Amino acid sequence: MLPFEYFEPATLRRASSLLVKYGADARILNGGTDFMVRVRQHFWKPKYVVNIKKIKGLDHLTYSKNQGLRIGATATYGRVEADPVVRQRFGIVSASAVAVGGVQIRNLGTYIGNACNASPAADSTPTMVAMGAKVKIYGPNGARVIPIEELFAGVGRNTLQAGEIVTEIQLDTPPPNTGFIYIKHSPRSQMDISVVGVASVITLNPDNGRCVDARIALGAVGPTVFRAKKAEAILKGSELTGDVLSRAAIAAADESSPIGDVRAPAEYRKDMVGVLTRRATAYAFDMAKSGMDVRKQQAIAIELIT
Amino acid sequence: MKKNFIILNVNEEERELYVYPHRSLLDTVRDELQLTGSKKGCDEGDCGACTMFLDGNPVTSCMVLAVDAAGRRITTIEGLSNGTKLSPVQQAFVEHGAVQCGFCIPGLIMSGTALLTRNPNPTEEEIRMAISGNICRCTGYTKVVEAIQAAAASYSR
Ligand SMILES: Cc1cc2nc3c(=O)[nH]c(=O)nc-3n(C[C@H](O)[C@H](O)[C@H](O)COP(=O)(O)OP(=O)(O)OC[C@H]3O[C@@H](n4cnc5c(N)ncnc54)[C@H](O)[C@@H]3O)c2cc1C
Ligand code: FES
Ligand code: FES
Repeated sequence: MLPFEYFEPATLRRASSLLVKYGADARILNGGTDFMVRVRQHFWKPKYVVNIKKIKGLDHLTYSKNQGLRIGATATYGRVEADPVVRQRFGIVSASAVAVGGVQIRNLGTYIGNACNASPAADSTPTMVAMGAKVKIYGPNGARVIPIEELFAGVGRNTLQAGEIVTEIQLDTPPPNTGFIYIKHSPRSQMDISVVGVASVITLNPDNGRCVDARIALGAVGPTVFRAKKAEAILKGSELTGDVLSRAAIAAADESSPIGDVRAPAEYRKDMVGVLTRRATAYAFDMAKSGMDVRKQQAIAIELIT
Repeated sequence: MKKNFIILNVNEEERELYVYPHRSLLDTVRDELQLTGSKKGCDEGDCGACTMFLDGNPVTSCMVLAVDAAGRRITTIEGLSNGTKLSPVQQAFVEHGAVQCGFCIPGLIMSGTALLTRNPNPTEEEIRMAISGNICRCTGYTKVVEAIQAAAASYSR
């Protein structure tokens, strides 16, 4: 690893001013699970490293009826996954943590690190995108809140400006009659990069059973994690018959633009987008229809991941 | 480049040292503190041979900067036994023949110990999940799982 100068600022303001001062030579260190790999490979060569974990109040994990769930920047997957409130109300969020690495990586890594790293194959971000998560960003010109997908600029590139630090993820409490699932497809079940990731969130109108909201986010099949909006449009307002699900699956596959690599050829990935969008949406639909509780949904989600 | 002064709390002992900020916790503990039980299999977070506890939670220590671990409670494989008296998981690995070349074993024992501390009565599936971040090229894992299952008895008692 190349040497660097190391800072442990105690406040966001100090961290931000260091980042502004050193610009492209500086890099934020959060859980470090992408950082250590990238820096060791000399892919990133920071001269100044700003550890944000000593900043007070960045590791919060709070829930309230009005504000929903807030996940602080430095809250690890391990902590979020084990939290009883998250398990009870946001089962999909803890299930998506299980898709990342193994236990040891989850005790270090963070949701926000995953999002800021902007890998198209990130496993926790499709769920966040499909759940309509927002991120709060601290910066030299004050704070702003944006939908999480607006963080992604391209493979490994985010839209943050100099001195900006993501401080939390914000998730609203999902409406009743909603089903969620994230399906990770990779050669090994654990400790492997996704070949395709599909998150599907379906909300039904309990009176007529029609789909009132559908959000589908795809991972590893484009330059960023993105929403399959054409597929969503087919589902929204419809009765989710087999035919409708198939049409949405085809639309999602059309919207994807995967590359081929050692893990899987592009055509295979595209085909699997269709297969897995259909499967994920059928699961989410069944969950929403049966009024399945969040814990049960979580158990199924984890079963599908592992 | 200058070294930073840090205090590492390793196995309940405070160790003062000067380290470069870019040194990993794994390298520092092995080379500076001469605790060589934790192994370096990959230096990429993949193999789990370097597993230590940070504030009680298992982490891959090659993925942590030593400066970042300062002030936190670190436990290495050396911290599990009491003198020459092995911990229940260590004893079970010996008794069940779960050790072949041994390189991965400190990490597997750390992961097994972390699981049983949290969940003294795990299913086989839960054991396999708990060690999914540890790679062993010799045993085929079966005896490792059996050993952890056997050690569970002394945790749930
Ligand atoms: C062995 C191994 C297995 C893995 N398996 C998976 C997997 O299965 N699925 C998966 O998706 N990922 C996986 N990863 C990648 C990694 O663990 C995740 O992306 C993790 O969520 C990164 O979080 P972190 O806190 O460790 O980020 P860091 O490494 O600390 O940071 C990542 C990037 O984000 C920036 N950053 C971090 N926090 C902020 C912030 N608050 N504001 C602005 N910028 C910030 C950093 O500067 C850096 O550029 C794996 C990594 C390893 C080593
Ligand atoms: S050496 Fe740390 S995981 Fe392999
Ligand atoms: S015993 Fe040899 S690698 Fe596990």
